[in-house]
Amino acid sequence: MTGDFDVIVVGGGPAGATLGSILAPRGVRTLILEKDIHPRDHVGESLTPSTNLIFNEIGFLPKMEDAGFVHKPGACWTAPRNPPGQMLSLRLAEFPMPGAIQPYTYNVERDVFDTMLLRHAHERGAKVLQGVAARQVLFQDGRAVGVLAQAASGWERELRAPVIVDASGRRSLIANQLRLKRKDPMFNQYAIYSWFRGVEPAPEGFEGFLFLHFLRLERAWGWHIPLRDGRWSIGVVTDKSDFQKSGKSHEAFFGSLVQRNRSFTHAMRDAERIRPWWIEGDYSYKIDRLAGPGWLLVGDALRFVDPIFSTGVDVATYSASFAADAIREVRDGGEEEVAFKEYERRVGDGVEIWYQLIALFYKLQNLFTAYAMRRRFREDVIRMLQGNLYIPDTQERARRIIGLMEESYRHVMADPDNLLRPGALDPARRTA
Amino acid sequence: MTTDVTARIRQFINREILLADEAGVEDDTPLVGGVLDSMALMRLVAFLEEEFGIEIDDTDVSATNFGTVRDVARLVEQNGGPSAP
Repeated sequence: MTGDFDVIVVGGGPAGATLGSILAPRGVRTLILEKDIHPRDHVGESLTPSTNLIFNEIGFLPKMEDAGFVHKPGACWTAPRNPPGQMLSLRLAEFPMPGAIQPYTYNVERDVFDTMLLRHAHERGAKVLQGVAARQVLFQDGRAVGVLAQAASGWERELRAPVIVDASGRRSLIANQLRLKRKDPMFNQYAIYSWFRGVEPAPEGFEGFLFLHFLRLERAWGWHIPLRDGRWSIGVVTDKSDFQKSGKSHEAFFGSLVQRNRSFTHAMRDAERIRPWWIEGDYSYKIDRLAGPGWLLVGDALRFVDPIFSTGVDVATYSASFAADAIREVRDGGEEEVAFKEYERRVGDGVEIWYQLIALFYKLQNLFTAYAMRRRFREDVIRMLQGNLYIPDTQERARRIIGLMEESYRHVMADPDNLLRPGALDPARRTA
Repeated sequence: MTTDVTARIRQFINREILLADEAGVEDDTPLVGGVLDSMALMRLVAFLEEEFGIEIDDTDVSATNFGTVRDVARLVEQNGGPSAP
């Protein structure tokens, strides 16, 4: 198959499938290798509105609408002692982003969604091989020149192309092979989740909203996402050491975190789990280079920090779109080193802002409430959370808010009397 | 219109936060350590900013300034809002 393809994409998740969907119709012969056979399960059901723009560009948005995925107009969050039904909310369309198509994004079952998107790439002309893993990327004189592909049957072959794109997800094939992957020193988060039925629906007017529950444990929170057919994705994120110290089973530990929040407890009181527990850990990492001679990293394969702001598919689709730009520029006669460096900068800048926001959230959860609630910050906060932190306008807003939040954080933590400090309003802690 | 400020603050806490019609906080009921949780506190701050057209810095969100309805009214006044008695 040597010479048959212009681009080999390792991985058929949202990043790889989006890339194939952009490149193939423009005459770039694209091969997508997917180690699994879709549908397969994946965490990360809640999307950002910015992905609408990319899905619209590749003609996929009507399919999402036809599939009936739950519309997500925004997010709600609850404090541990909020009476059920009382929550704060952000409607993502309160300040529409530039080019907004519709006032909502989606919650998607990732097995179905990812399968649809990969099929879409195929329909747009990408060659898709499922059940074929790229064992390693082949390098020649420091340049990526192909992959060693292998099927479960034992079929194995070297496939070559001028550009290799790593969309292998958190497996990070190239970064691991080149030893570029570093575990994030700040984060050792850990997620436990499953799907449930019988969860208490959101109050009227908040159907489809993503719920975040704060748990009176600084590094922990819970998610609560409505899916189709009365199913819900419910999960908790916490510092791994909190789970290890607890000595509890997954079931018992999950239950003990749910009980830390009245709204969460209320919503789950008649819930019935319909799938096995799913555990995700060790998922926060950074990779030193996002591109090199003949190769590019996209999606989770380039970085993942934490799911708090639903950034997974956002990063996947935008990095795919920018990778397509870089690849096409080279095909049009541009210099690869320049084009790929520019790719690295575009993607790296946006992902770094996500990182800073996530780091701030974990430093002091109250800050996000403090900023989201006040009119003078609200537009900037909403625009950040809509996604696409790669455009200058959103980046400027985000950097401004990050600067203000960092300053607030310093002041708050320096003053023992300040009520935004963790636990400052906790009756148990105050009387202790 | 002074009593007005404390009354509006008290009313917001009782109606919007405690969901109480009759009973609820008085002007000198302690708010910290039971009445306010983190979200109620930020709802109150957002309410004060909008209701009285003022800005409250995060540095001023302290136990001293939010001790009672009366303390909150004083903070509103200090930040350029209408005066309390």
